[in-house]
Amino acid sequence: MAKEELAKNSLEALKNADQHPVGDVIRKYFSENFENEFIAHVFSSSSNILLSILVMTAFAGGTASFLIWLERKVCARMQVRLGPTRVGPFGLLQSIADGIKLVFKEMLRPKGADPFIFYLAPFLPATASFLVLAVIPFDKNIQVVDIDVGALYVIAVSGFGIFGILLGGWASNSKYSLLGAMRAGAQMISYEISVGLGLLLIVMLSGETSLREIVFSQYGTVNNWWIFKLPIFGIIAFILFLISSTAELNRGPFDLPEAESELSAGFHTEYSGITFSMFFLAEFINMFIAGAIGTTFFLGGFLPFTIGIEGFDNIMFMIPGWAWFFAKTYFIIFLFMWFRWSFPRPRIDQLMNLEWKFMLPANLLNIIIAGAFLTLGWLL
Amino acid sequence: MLSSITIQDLFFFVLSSVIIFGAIMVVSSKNLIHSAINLILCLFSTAGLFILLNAEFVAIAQVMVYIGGVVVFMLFTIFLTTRLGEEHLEPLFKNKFFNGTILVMAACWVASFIPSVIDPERDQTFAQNASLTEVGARFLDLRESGFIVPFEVISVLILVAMIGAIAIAKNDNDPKNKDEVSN
Amino acid sequence: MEAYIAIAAYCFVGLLFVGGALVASKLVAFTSENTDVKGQPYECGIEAFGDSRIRFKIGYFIYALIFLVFDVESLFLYPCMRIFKQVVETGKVVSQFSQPIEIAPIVIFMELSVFFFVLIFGLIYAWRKGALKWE
Repeated sequence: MAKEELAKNSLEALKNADQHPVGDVIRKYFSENFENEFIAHVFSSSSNILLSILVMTAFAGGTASFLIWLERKVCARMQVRLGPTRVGPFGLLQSIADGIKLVFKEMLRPKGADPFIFYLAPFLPATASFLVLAVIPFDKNIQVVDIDVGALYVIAVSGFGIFGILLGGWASNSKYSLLGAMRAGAQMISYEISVGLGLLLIVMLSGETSLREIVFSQYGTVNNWWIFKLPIFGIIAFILFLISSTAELNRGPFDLPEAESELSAGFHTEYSGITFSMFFLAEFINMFIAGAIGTTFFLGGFLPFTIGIEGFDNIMFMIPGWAWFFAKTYFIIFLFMWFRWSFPRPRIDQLMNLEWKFMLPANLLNIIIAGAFLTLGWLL
Repeated sequence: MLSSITIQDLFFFVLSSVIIFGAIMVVSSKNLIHSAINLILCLFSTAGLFILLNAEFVAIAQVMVYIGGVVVFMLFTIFLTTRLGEEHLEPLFKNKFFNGTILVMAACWVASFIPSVIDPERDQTFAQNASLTEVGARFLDLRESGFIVPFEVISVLILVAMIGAIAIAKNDNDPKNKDEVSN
Repeated sequence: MEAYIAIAAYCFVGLLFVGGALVASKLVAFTSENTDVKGQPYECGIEAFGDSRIRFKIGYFIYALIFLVFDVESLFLYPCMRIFKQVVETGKVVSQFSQPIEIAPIVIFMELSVFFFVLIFGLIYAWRKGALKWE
């Protein structure tokens, strides 16, 4: 019995799990006999990708509204308030109510704004975040596509969001928007390098670039997670990743692009109604993505927390992989929220110095020293 | 001929039409920011063409360096120049005869490739997928099949580019550049 | 290839999602009367003055430039770093098209070190020249 259990949880068994079953999961809940041929085709196994895309789109919207609620609750608790309580149980439906309100609000466009770019800008960050969601491994078999260049793809596509901010800020024809956009642009490109180098360390140590394979390279006990496996590099890299992704998300304490006290609302000062909510949506999906990337690269992704004792491990393996994935991701998201409501905002020169004079050299040194250790055979 | 069109051909035609459309918009648009946006479209479709050739790494490089790096850099440069985004630029060459001649010559040159493209007996084998491992191994290979010298020269090249650009950008003794600058 | 078709479809659905939201809002949203004040850019309540497209300092340009350098650098490092572990463990890289490429771990480390130190030299140069200083 114990051997069967172990065999079920072995690395090969996990790796060989069926791909693309997002569609299968959905199809299970519908009967096989469809009268309408079109619907039958949509639910046929050949269109798994289409189905998974639809599911992921709904998931993105749901996650964003849940995270907005969570942010407000966490903020309120840290300030000894209650936060939203009225709409739905624990105020859970508050963000949906807000969303409906925003749909009915007027889309204002200031005079002198370039109409084409002004309406193009909200498309870009939201689409970029959707695209990154496509490669995230939620479970051993829940992933839309698994591409060989996954880690590079994440960095390349998440860089797209900057266009929405730069173009939106420029097109608004407002001083605050342009200032916010330039600051956001400078900040995001700077910290993108640190994120990329942080992931590079894990690519070097695991020898894989596909996100699924990176998760499997951490198979074993909790000590095999990249954050704990190395003497100290993993923890340094994880802290640097947390700081740089907080800054790349333009979240507090690094929310200089939308610093209320000096720039009103930064690049989206002139956006209202649904156009504003698209930027807002992208921001929160990006927060989820940052958490998910941190989980995948450092915290073992969908692998359970195991300590090498058989009985304990078997219990841990009973919890499904996606539950582990979401637990770890929401842990990182909670860290982001904790940062936001605990730390004061630095000045822009301090922010830039932090990146170029501290984080970038630290990342480079981290990689070189880890590479030297790897060559000498002191690691792994 | 229509019957022999594969899905790859279809993607190729769609992507190349988008590239041509984007390229025409880049040069014909009178607003620099619109040009930059069309350049993004153009480069993105080029990345799609690389995907059709099974060159994942080059496609990602196209997106990461050209779109995520060069176009962002261009946008910063456009924003830095005062009111350039609003100004209506005049074409450099106004002589219609000269422009027309160039256009016809270029069109003839492109058309000279058509026979080899529609030839049904052309080489239709697909490019093999070059994985990241393959690319990395070739970069660091010390034998003749490797590219270690170009790889090291890349680092020197971008170092030279950076030093040159810093030398130009930091040289702002011109008093005109000092006023009306905001953070 | 199939993976990228899925990604293209994903991109399309993303655009459709945002476009659909914008169109839906356009159809149902409340629209107020158009006045002069409504089209003014927001400047904390006072009337907007001067040109909105203000001029920026050169610092942004230099940061964008150094970013470009390190972007290219990290792109080229990814494939090299990917084979690092394979080389350390087995002493060779299995290639799809040719014989396995044999490289000693110390050689690959030296090769990458040269690449790294040239770039670190660039960073030090920019630092010493004051390009990283926010004035």
